[in-house]
Amino acid sequence: MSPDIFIKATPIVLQGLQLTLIITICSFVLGQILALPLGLARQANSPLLRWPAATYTFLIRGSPLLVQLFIIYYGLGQIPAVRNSILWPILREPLYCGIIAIALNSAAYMAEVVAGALKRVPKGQTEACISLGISRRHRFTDVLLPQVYRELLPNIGNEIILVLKSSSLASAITIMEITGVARAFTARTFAPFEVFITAGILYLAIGFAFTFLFRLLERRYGITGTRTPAPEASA
Amino acid sequence: MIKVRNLVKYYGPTKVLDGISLDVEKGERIVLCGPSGSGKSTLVRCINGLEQRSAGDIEIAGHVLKADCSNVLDLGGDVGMVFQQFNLFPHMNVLDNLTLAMRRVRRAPRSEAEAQAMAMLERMQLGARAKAYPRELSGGQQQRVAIARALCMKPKVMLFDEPTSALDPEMVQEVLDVMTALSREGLTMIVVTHEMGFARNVADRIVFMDGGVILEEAAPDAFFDHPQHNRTREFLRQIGPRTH
Repeated sequence: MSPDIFIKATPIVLQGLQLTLIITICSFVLGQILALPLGLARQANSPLLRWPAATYTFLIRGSPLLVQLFIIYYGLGQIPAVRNSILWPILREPLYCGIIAIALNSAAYMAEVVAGALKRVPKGQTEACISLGISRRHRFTDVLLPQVYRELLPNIGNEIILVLKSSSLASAITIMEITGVARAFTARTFAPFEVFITAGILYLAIGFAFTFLFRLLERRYGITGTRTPAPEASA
Repeated sequence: MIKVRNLVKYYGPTKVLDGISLDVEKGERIVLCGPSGSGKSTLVRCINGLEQRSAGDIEIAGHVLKADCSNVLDLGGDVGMVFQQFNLFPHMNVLDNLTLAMRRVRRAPRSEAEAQAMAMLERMQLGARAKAYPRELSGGQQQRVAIARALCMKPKVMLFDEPTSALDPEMVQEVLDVMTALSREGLTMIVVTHEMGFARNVADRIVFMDGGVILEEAAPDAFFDHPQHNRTREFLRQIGPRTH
Protein backbone atom coordinates (compact mmCIF):
# COMPACT_ATOMS: atom_id res chain seq x y z
CA MET A 1 0.00 0.00 0.00
CA SER A 2 1.46 3.30 -0.91
CA PRO A 3 -0.06 6.70 -0.19
CA ASP A 4 1.39 7.90 -3.48
CA ILE A 5 -0.86 5.65 -5.45
CA PHE A 6 -3.92 6.74 -3.44
CA ILE A 7 -3.12 10.32 -4.35
CA LYS A 8 -2.58 9.38 -7.95
CA ALA A 9 -5.66 7.19 -8.08
CA THR A 10 -8.06 9.77 -6.75
CA PRO A 11 -8.23 12.11 -9.79
CA ILE A 12 -8.33 9.10 -12.10
CA VAL A 13 -11.23 7.50 -10.32
CA LEU A 14 -12.99 10.85 -10.15
CA GLN A 15 -12.96 10.91 -13.95
CA GLY A 16 -15.52 8.13 -13.83
CA LEU A 17 -17.75 9.97 -11.40
CA GLN A 18 -19.69 11.86 -14.04
CA LEU A 19 -20.61 8.74 -15.99
CA THR A 20 -21.52 6.86 -12.83
CA LEU A 21 -23.87 9.67 -11.83
CA ILE A 22 -25.38 9.86 -15.31
CA ILE A 23 -26.01 6.12 -15.45
CA THR A 24 -27.35 6.00 -11.90
CA ILE A 25 -29.72 8.92 -12.17
CA CYS A 26 -30.96 8.16 -15.70
CA SER A 27 -31.50 4.46 -14.96
CA PHE A 28 -33.16 5.25 -11.66
CA VAL A 29 -35.56 7.81 -13.12
CA LEU A 30 -36.39 5.67 -16.14
CA GLY A 31 -36.82 2.66 -13.87
CA GLN A 32 -39.21 4.51 -11.57
CA ILE A 33 -41.26 5.74 -14.53
CA LEU A 34 -41.58 2.23 -15.95
CA ALA A 35 -42.26 0.69 -12.54
CA LEU A 36 -45.57 2.50 -12.06
CA PRO A 37 -47.49 1.11 -15.08
CA LEU A 38 -45.85 -2.27 -14.51
CA GLY A 39 -46.82 -2.26 -10.85
CA LEU A 40 -50.39 -1.24 -11.70
CA ALA A 41 -50.56 -4.00 -14.31
CA ARG A 42 -49.10 -6.47 -11.82
CA GLN A 43 -52.11 -6.13 -9.51
CA ALA A 44 -54.76 -5.41 -12.16
CA ASN A 45 -57.90 -7.51 -12.32
CA SER A 46 -57.49 -8.32 -15.99
CA PRO A 47 -55.17 -11.27 -16.71
CA LEU A 48 -54.30 -9.56 -20.00
CA LEU A 49 -52.48 -6.92 -17.99
CA ARG A 50 -51.36 -9.07 -15.10
CA TRP A 51 -49.70 -11.89 -17.03
CA PRO A 52 -47.38 -9.89 -19.28
CA ALA A 53 -46.24 -7.85 -16.27
CA ALA A 54 -45.69 -10.99 -14.22
CA THR A 55 -43.70 -12.58 -17.05
CA TYR A 56 -41.58 -9.47 -17.40
CA THR A 57 -40.69 -9.25 -13.73
CA PHE A 58 -40.03 -13.00 -13.63
CA LEU A 59 -37.60 -12.86 -16.56
CA ILE A 60 -35.77 -9.76 -15.38
CA ARG A 61 -35.54 -10.66 -11.73
CA GLY A 62 -34.67 -14.24 -12.51
CA SER A 63 -31.58 -13.55 -14.61
CA PRO A 64 -28.34 -11.70 -13.81
CA LEU A 65 -28.08 -8.05 -14.75
CA LEU A 66 -24.67 -8.70 -16.30
CA VAL A 67 -26.20 -11.21 -18.68
CA GLN A 68 -28.97 -8.73 -19.55
CA LEU A 69 -26.33 -6.07 -20.25
CA PHE A 70 -24.51 -8.40 -22.63
CA ILE A 71 -27.74 -9.41 -24.36
CA ILE A 72 -28.80 -5.82 -24.91
CA TYR A 73 -25.40 -4.47 -25.95
CA TYR A 74 -23.83 -7.39 -27.81
CA GLY A 75 -26.88 -9.50 -28.59
CA LEU A 76 -29.36 -7.05 -30.06
CA GLY A 77 -26.81 -5.75 -32.57
CA GLN A 78 -26.75 -9.18 -34.18
CA ILE A 79 -30.31 -8.79 -35.36
CA PRO A 80 -30.52 -6.96 -38.71
CA ALA A 81 -33.99 -5.67 -37.90
CA VAL A 82 -32.55 -3.91 -34.85
CA ARG A 83 -29.61 -2.51 -36.83
CA ASN A 84 -32.03 -1.10 -39.40
CA SER A 85 -34.51 0.30 -36.90
CA ILE A 86 -34.71 3.87 -35.71
CA LEU A 87 -33.56 2.63 -32.30
CA TRP A 88 -30.14 1.63 -33.62
CA PRO A 89 -28.44 4.97 -32.86
CA ILE A 90 -29.44 4.37 -29.24
CA LEU A 91 -28.73 0.64 -29.02
CA ARG A 92 -25.35 1.14 -30.71
CA GLU A 93 -24.10 3.22 -27.80
CA PRO A 94 -22.84 1.33 -24.74
CA LEU A 95 -23.93 4.15 -22.42
CA TYR A 96 -27.54 4.02 -23.60
CA CYS A 97 -27.52 0.22 -23.47
CA GLY A 98 -26.21 0.36 -19.92
CA ILE A 99 -28.85 2.85 -18.85
CA ILE A 100 -31.64 0.84 -20.52
CA ALA A 101 -30.54 -2.49 -19.03
CA ILE A 102 -30.19 -1.14 -15.51
CA ALA A 103 -33.47 0.79 -15.80
CA LEU A 104 -35.37 -2.29 -17.02
CA ASN A 105 -33.89 -4.23 -14.13
CA SER A 106 -34.74 -1.61 -11.54
CA ALA A 107 -38.26 -1.27 -12.97
CA ALA A 108 -38.92 -4.98 -12.49
CA TYR A 109 -37.96 -4.86 -8.82
CA MET A 110 -39.80 -1.61 -8.16
CA ALA A 111 -42.92 -2.87 -9.95
CA GLU A 112 -43.24 -5.68 -7.43
CA VAL A 113 -42.75 -3.23 -4.58
CA VAL A 114 -45.33 -0.80 -6.00
CA ALA A 115 -47.83 -3.61 -6.55
CA GLY A 116 -47.29 -4.83 -3.01
CA ALA A 117 -47.78 -1.36 -1.56
CA LEU A 118 -50.95 -0.83 -3.60
CA LYS A 119 -52.36 -4.03 -2.16
CA ARG A 120 -51.52 -2.88 1.36
CA VAL A 121 -53.48 0.37 1.13
CA PRO A 122 -56.52 -0.36 3.30
CA LYS A 123 -59.64 -1.24 1.32
CA GLY A 124 -61.45 1.48 3.23
CA GLN A 125 -59.59 4.12 1.23
CA THR A 126 -61.08 2.82 -1.98
CA GLU A 127 -64.49 2.49 -0.36
CA ALA A 128 -64.36 6.05 0.91
CA CYS A 129 -63.57 7.22 -2.63
CA ILE A 130 -66.43 5.21 -4.12
CA SER A 131 -68.91 6.50 -1.56
CA LEU A 132 -67.86 10.07 -2.41
CA GLY A 133 -68.24 9.38 -6.13
CA ILE A 134 -64.53 9.89 -6.87
CA SER A 135 -63.63 8.41 -10.25
CA ARG A 136 -61.13 5.58 -10.72
CA ARG A 137 -58.56 7.92 -12.17
CA HIS A 138 -58.70 10.41 -9.32
CA ARG A 139 -58.81 7.57 -6.84
CA PHE A 140 -55.35 6.61 -8.06
CA THR A 141 -53.88 10.07 -8.63
CA ASP A 142 -55.24 11.74 -5.50
CA VAL A 143 -55.65 9.01 -2.92
CA LEU A 144 -53.91 5.69 -3.59
CA LEU A 145 -50.65 6.64 -5.33
CA PRO A 146 -49.75 9.53 -3.01
CA GLN A 147 -50.08 7.11 -0.11
CA VAL A 148 -48.16 4.38 -1.91
CA TYR A 149 -45.24 6.64 -2.79
CA ARG A 150 -45.07 8.20 0.64
CA GLU A 151 -44.89 4.75 2.14
CA LEU A 152 -42.34 3.65 -0.45
CA LEU A 153 -39.91 6.54 0.05
CA PRO A 154 -37.51 4.36 2.10
CA ASN A 155 -37.69 1.63 -0.57
CA ILE A 156 -37.07 4.16 -3.31
CA GLY A 157 -34.06 5.53 -1.44
CA ASN A 158 -32.83 1.97 -1.16
CA GLU A 159 -33.42 1.38 -4.85
CA ILE A 160 -31.25 4.29 -5.96
CA ILE A 161 -28.35 2.79 -3.93
CA LEU A 162 -28.91 -0.56 -5.65
CA VAL A 163 -28.93 1.18 -9.03
CA LEU A 164 -25.74 3.00 -8.12
CA LYS A 165 -24.05 -0.29 -7.33
CA SER A 166 -25.45 -1.93 -10.47
CA SER A 167 -23.95 0.88 -12.52
CA SER A 168 -20.49 -0.60 -11.85
CA LEU A 169 -21.45 -3.51 -14.10
CA ALA A 170 -21.64 -1.08 -17.00
CA SER A 171 -17.83 -1.24 -17.07
CA ALA A 172 -18.28 -4.71 -18.59
CA ILE A 173 -19.63 -3.13 -21.77
CA THR A 174 -16.74 -0.69 -22.17
CA ILE A 175 -18.23 2.22 -20.23
CA MET A 176 -15.57 4.17 -18.36
CA GLU A 177 -17.50 4.96 -15.20
CA ILE A 178 -15.80 4.70 -11.81
CA THR A 179 -15.22 0.95 -11.94
CA GLY A 180 -14.24 1.16 -15.59
CA VAL A 181 -11.53 3.76 -15.06
CA ALA A 182 -10.37 1.99 -11.93
CA ARG A 183 -9.88 -1.23 -13.90
CA ALA A 184 -8.03 0.56 -16.66
CA PHE A 185 -5.78 2.31 -14.15
CA THR A 186 -5.06 -0.97 -12.36
CA ALA A 187 -4.03 -2.53 -15.62
CA ARG A 188 -1.35 0.14 -15.90
CA THR A 189 -0.19 0.41 -12.27
CA PHE A 190 -0.73 -3.13 -10.96
CA ALA A 191 -2.02 -1.54 -7.75
CA PRO A 192 -5.57 -2.87 -7.54
CA PHE A 193 -5.86 -2.46 -3.80
CA GLU A 194 -5.36 1.28 -3.63
CA VAL A 195 -7.35 2.03 -6.76
CA PHE A 196 -10.37 -0.06 -5.90
CA ILE A 197 -10.40 1.16 -2.32
CA THR A 198 -10.51 4.69 -3.67
CA ALA A 199 -13.35 3.65 -5.97
CA GLY A 200 -15.16 1.95 -3.08
CA ILE A 201 -14.90 5.07 -0.94
CA LEU A 202 -16.30 7.14 -3.77
CA TYR A 203 -19.30 4.81 -4.14
CA LEU A 204 -19.88 5.02 -0.40
CA ALA A 205 -19.79 8.80 -0.54
CA ILE A 206 -22.31 8.95 -3.39
CA GLY A 207 -24.52 6.43 -1.63
CA PHE A 208 -24.37 8.46 1.54
CA ALA A 209 -25.38 11.60 -0.35
CA PHE A 210 -28.42 9.82 -1.85
CA THR A 211 -29.38 8.41 1.54
CA PHE A 212 -29.19 11.85 3.07
CA LEU A 213 -31.34 13.29 0.28
CA PHE A 214 -34.02 10.65 0.77
CA ARG A 215 -33.98 11.14 4.53
CA LEU A 216 -34.85 14.75 3.90
CA LEU A 217 -37.65 13.75 1.52
CA GLU A 218 -38.99 11.25 4.03
CA ARG A 219 -39.02 13.81 6.76
CA ARG A 220 -40.87 16.20 4.49
CA TYR A 221 -43.38 13.83 2.89
CA GLY A 222 -43.32 10.52 4.72
CA ILE A 223 -46.34 9.33 6.61
CA THR A 224 -45.75 7.02 9.50
CA GLY A 225 -48.27 5.50 11.81
CA THR A 226 -51.20 6.97 9.92
CA ARG A 227 -52.62 3.75 8.59
CA THR A 228 -55.93 2.93 10.17
CA PRO A 229 -56.01 -0.74 11.08
CA ALA A 230 -57.92 -3.05 8.78
CA PRO A 231 -61.58 -3.04 9.77
CA GLU A 232 -62.59 -6.09 11.72
CA ALA A 233 -64.95 -8.38 9.93
CA SER A 234 -68.39 -7.35 10.96
CA ALA A 235 -71.79 -8.20 9.69
CA MET B 1 -85.77 7.58 -1.19
CA ILE B 2 -84.56 3.99 -0.79
CA LYS B 3 -86.29 0.94 -2.20
CA VAL B 4 -84.81 -2.50 -1.60
CA ARG B 5 -86.56 -5.56 -3.06
CA ASN B 6 -85.74 -9.19 -2.24
CA LEU B 7 -82.07 -8.51 -1.69
CA VAL B 8 -80.01 -11.68 -1.50
CA LYS B 9 -76.29 -11.77 -0.85
CA TYR B 10 -73.93 -14.71 -0.66
CA TYR B 11 -70.36 -14.66 0.58
CA GLY B 12 -69.15 -17.81 -1.12
CA PRO B 13 -71.56 -20.51 0.03
CA THR B 14 -72.81 -18.47 3.00
CA LYS B 15 -76.07 -16.63 2.60
CA VAL B 16 -75.71 -13.39 4.57
CA LEU B 17 -78.81 -11.60 3.28
CA ASP B 18 -81.87 -13.68 2.62
CA GLY B 19 -84.50 -11.69 0.79
CA ILE B 20 -84.46 -8.23 2.36
CA SER B 21 -87.09 -5.71 1.35
CA LEU B 22 -86.99 -2.24 2.82
CA ASP B 23 -88.51 1.12 1.96
CA VAL B 24 -87.22 4.35 3.38
CA GLU B 25 -89.09 7.60 2.86
CA LYS B 26 -87.46 10.98 2.38
CA GLY B 27 -86.46 12.39 5.76
CA GLU B 28 -86.95 9.11 7.55
CA ARG B 29 -84.43 8.03 10.19
CA ILE B 30 -83.89 4.32 10.41
CA VAL B 31 -81.80 2.53 13.01
CA LEU B 32 -80.66 -0.91 11.93
CA CYS B 33 -79.78 -3.24 14.75
CA GLY B 34 -79.29 -6.88 15.47
CA PRO B 35 -76.72 -9.33 16.74
CA SER B 36 -73.33 -9.39 15.09
CA GLY B 37 -73.35 -11.47 11.94
CA SER B 38 -76.99 -10.63 11.27
CA GLY B 39 -76.15 -8.87 8.00
CA LYS B 40 -76.81 -5.22 8.91
CA SER B 41 -73.46 -3.88 7.72
CA THR B 42 -73.69 -5.96 4.58
CA LEU B 43 -77.14 -4.50 3.94
CA VAL B 44 -75.97 -0.88 4.08
CA ARG B 45 -72.91 -1.74 2.01
CA CYS B 46 -75.13 -3.30 -0.65
CA ILE B 47 -77.44 -0.29 -0.57
CA ASN B 48 -74.65 2.09 -1.56
CA GLY B 49 -72.98 -0.30 -3.97
CA LEU B 50 -69.85 -1.16 -2.00
CA GLU B 51 -70.86 -4.81 -2.15
CA GLN B 52 -72.23 -6.62 -5.15
CA ARG B 53 -75.42 -8.48 -4.50
CA SER B 54 -76.48 -11.91 -5.62
CA ALA B 55 -80.10 -10.99 -6.38
CA GLY B 56 -82.71 -8.31 -5.86
CA ASP B 57 -83.26 -4.67 -6.81
CA ILE B 58 -82.01 -1.50 -5.20
CA GLU B 59 -83.11 2.02 -5.92
CA ILE B 60 -81.56 4.84 -3.96
CA ALA B 61 -81.72 8.64 -4.17
CA GLY B 62 -83.15 8.36 -7.66
CA HIS B 63 -80.52 5.91 -8.96
CA VAL B 64 -81.22 2.31 -9.93
CA LEU B 65 -78.14 0.44 -8.80
CA LYS B 66 -77.02 -2.33 -11.15
CA ALA B 67 -76.40 -5.76 -9.66
CA ASP B 68 -72.68 -5.65 -10.50
CA CYS B 69 -72.44 -2.12 -9.06
CA SER B 70 -70.84 -0.93 -12.31
CA ASN B 71 -72.79 2.33 -12.07
CA VAL B 72 -71.96 2.97 -8.41
CA LEU B 73 -70.06 6.16 -9.24
CA ASP B 74 -73.27 7.60 -10.68
CA LEU B 75 -74.42 8.01 -7.09
CA GLY B 76 -71.68 10.64 -7.07
CA GLY B 77 -71.82 11.49 -3.40
CA ASP B 78 -75.64 11.54 -3.23
CA VAL B 79 -75.38 8.71 -0.73
CA GLY B 80 -72.99 9.63 2.07
CA MET B 81 -71.30 6.88 3.99
CA VAL B 82 -69.69 6.98 7.42
CA PHE B 83 -67.49 4.01 8.21
CA GLN B 84 -66.60 2.35 11.47
CA GLN B 85 -62.91 2.96 10.73
CA PHE B 86 -63.41 6.59 9.52
CA ASN B 87 -61.38 5.96 6.34
CA LEU B 88 -60.06 9.50 6.17
CA PHE B 89 -57.28 10.13 3.66
CA PRO B 90 -54.18 10.05 5.89
CA HIS B 91 -51.94 12.04 3.56
CA MET B 92 -54.27 15.04 3.39
CA ASN B 93 -55.15 17.56 6.05
CA VAL B 94 -58.72 17.88 7.25
CA LEU B 95 -59.61 20.63 4.80
CA ASP B 96 -58.29 18.68 1.80
CA ASN B 97 -60.14 15.59 2.99
CA LEU B 98 -63.33 17.61 2.78
CA THR B 99 -62.69 19.41 -0.48
CA LEU B 100 -61.30 16.56 -2.60
CA ALA B 101 -64.65 15.14 -3.69
CA MET B 102 -66.24 18.58 -4.04
CA ARG B 103 -63.50 19.59 -6.44
CA ARG B 104 -63.15 16.30 -8.33
CA VAL B 105 -66.77 15.17 -8.45
CA ARG B 106 -68.80 18.36 -8.13
CA ARG B 107 -66.14 20.33 -10.01
CA ALA B 108 -66.29 23.16 -7.50
CA PRO B 109 -63.45 25.70 -7.70
CA ARG B 110 -60.98 25.34 -4.85
CA SER B 111 -61.90 28.61 -3.16
CA GLU B 112 -65.58 27.78 -3.18
CA ALA B 113 -64.99 24.24 -1.95
CA GLU B 114 -62.77 25.49 0.86
CA ALA B 115 -65.31 28.09 1.96
CA GLN B 116 -68.00 25.42 2.10
CA ALA B 117 -65.73 22.98 3.90
CA MET B 118 -64.77 25.60 6.48
CA ALA B 119 -68.42 26.35 7.14
CA MET B 120 -69.05 22.65 7.63
CA LEU B 121 -66.08 22.33 9.99
CA GLU B 122 -67.30 25.28 12.03
CA ARG B 123 -70.63 23.53 12.36
CA MET B 124 -68.82 20.48 13.68
CA GLN B 125 -66.75 22.72 15.97
CA LEU B 126 -63.64 21.59 14.17
CA GLY B 127 -62.78 24.88 12.48
CA ALA B 128 -59.51 25.12 14.40
CA ARG B 129 -58.38 21.72 13.13
CA ALA B 130 -58.71 22.45 9.40
CA LYS B 131 -54.97 22.20 8.79
CA ALA B 132 -54.42 19.17 11.04
CA TYR B 133 -53.77 15.71 9.66
CA PRO B 134 -56.08 12.85 10.60
CA ARG B 135 -53.38 11.19 12.74
CA GLU B 136 -53.26 14.31 14.91
CA LEU B 137 -56.94 14.05 15.81
CA SER B 138 -58.74 11.96 18.38
CA GLY B 139 -60.98 9.17 17.18
CA GLY B 140 -64.09 11.22 17.86
CA GLN B 141 -62.72 14.17 15.93
CA GLN B 142 -61.74 11.90 13.05
CA GLN B 143 -65.23 10.49 12.86
CA ARG B 144 -66.73 13.99 12.92
CA VAL B 145 -64.40 14.95 10.07
CA ALA B 146 -65.57 11.85 8.19
CA ILE B 147 -69.19 12.89 8.72
CA ALA B 148 -68.36 16.42 7.56
CA ARG B 149 -66.61 15.03 4.48
CA ALA B 150 -69.71 13.08 3.47
CA LEU B 151 -72.01 16.04 4.23
CA CYS B 152 -69.99 18.37 2.02
CA MET B 153 -71.34 16.44 -0.96
CA LYS B 154 -74.87 17.45 0.07
CA PRO B 155 -76.05 13.85 0.14
CA LYS B 156 -79.70 12.93 -0.10
CA VAL B 157 -79.13 9.93 2.15
CA MET B 158 -76.56 9.30 4.86
CA LEU B 159 -75.58 5.78 5.83
CA PHE B 160 -73.72 5.15 9.07
CA ASP B 161 -72.03 1.78 9.52
CA GLU B 162 -71.35 1.39 13.26
CA PRO B 163 -69.94 4.91 13.46
CA THR B 164 -69.08 4.72 17.17
CA SER B 165 -67.90 1.11 17.46
CA ALA B 166 -64.22 1.90 16.94
CA LEU B 167 -64.23 4.82 19.38
CA ASP B 168 -63.05 5.02 22.95
CA PRO B 169 -66.11 5.22 25.21
CA GLU B 170 -65.57 8.87 26.15
CA MET B 171 -65.72 9.88 22.49
CA VAL B 172 -68.93 8.12 21.57
CA GLN B 173 -71.18 10.90 22.78
CA GLU B 174 -69.63 13.71 20.71
CA VAL B 175 -70.25 11.67 17.55
CA LEU B 176 -73.79 10.73 18.59
CA ASP B 177 -74.49 14.41 19.33
CA VAL B 178 -73.49 15.37 15.81
CA MET B 179 -75.69 12.64 14.40
CA THR B 180 -78.62 13.68 16.56
CA ALA B 181 -78.24 17.26 15.35
CA LEU B 182 -78.23 16.02 11.75
CA SER B 183 -81.36 14.00 12.27
CA ARG B 184 -83.19 17.20 13.25
CA GLU B 185 -82.40 18.71 9.87
CA GLY B 186 -84.55 16.27 7.97
CA LEU B 187 -81.76 14.28 6.41
CA THR B 188 -82.66 10.73 5.41
CA MET B 189 -80.51 8.44 7.54
CA ILE B 190 -79.85 4.78 8.02
CA VAL B 191 -77.74 4.05 11.07
CA VAL B 192 -76.28 0.69 12.00
CA THR B 193 -75.55 0.94 15.71
CA HIS B 194 -75.68 -0.75 19.06
CA GLU B 195 -76.36 2.56 20.79
CA MET B 196 -79.94 1.91 21.84
CA GLY B 197 -80.26 5.23 23.64
CA PHE B 198 -79.57 6.99 20.36
CA ALA B 199 -82.00 4.65 18.61
CA ARG B 200 -84.80 5.47 21.01
CA ASN B 201 -84.21 9.22 20.79
CA VAL B 202 -83.66 9.63 17.11
CA ALA B 203 -85.14 6.80 15.06
CA ASP B 204 -88.49 7.01 13.33
CA ARG B 205 -88.30 3.29 12.85
CA ILE B 206 -86.11 0.53 14.16
CA VAL B 207 -85.31 -2.38 11.92
CA PHE B 208 -84.19 -5.53 13.69
CA MET B 209 -82.23 -8.06 11.66
CA ASP B 210 -81.17 -11.58 12.47
CA GLY B 211 -79.76 -14.30 10.27
CA GLY B 212 -79.93 -12.18 7.12
CA VAL B 213 -83.63 -11.35 7.37
CA ILE B 214 -85.61 -8.48 8.83
CA LEU B 215 -87.38 -9.93 11.84
CA GLU B 216 -89.12 -6.87 13.10
CA GLU B 217 -89.74 -3.25 12.16
CA ALA B 218 -91.34 -0.83 14.56
CA ALA B 219 -91.36 2.66 15.99
CA PRO B 220 -88.90 2.94 18.91
CA ASP B 221 -91.45 2.86 21.70
CA ALA B 222 -93.19 -0.19 20.31
CA PHE B 223 -89.87 -1.83 19.57
CA PHE B 224 -88.39 -1.40 23.02
CA ASP B 225 -91.57 -1.77 25.07
CA HIS B 226 -93.39 -4.48 23.14
CA PRO B 227 -90.95 -6.47 21.04
CA GLN B 228 -92.81 -9.09 19.03
CA HIS B 229 -90.17 -11.73 18.54
CA ASN B 230 -88.31 -13.89 20.99
CA ARG B 231 -85.04 -13.12 19.23
CA THR B 232 -85.71 -9.41 19.62
CA ARG B 233 -86.46 -9.77 23.30
CA GLU B 234 -83.32 -11.81 23.80
CA PHE B 235 -81.25 -9.21 21.91
CA LEU B 236 -82.69 -6.37 23.96
CA ARG B 237 -82.07 -8.25 27.17
CA GLN B 238 -78.43 -8.76 26.24
CA ILE B 239 -77.75 -5.14 25.46
CA GLY B 240 -80.42 -3.93 27.86
CA PRO B 241 -78.39 -1.63 30.12
CA ARG B 242 -77.47 0.52 27.16
CA THR B 243 -81.01 1.66 26.42
CA HIS B 244 -80.96 4.22 29.18
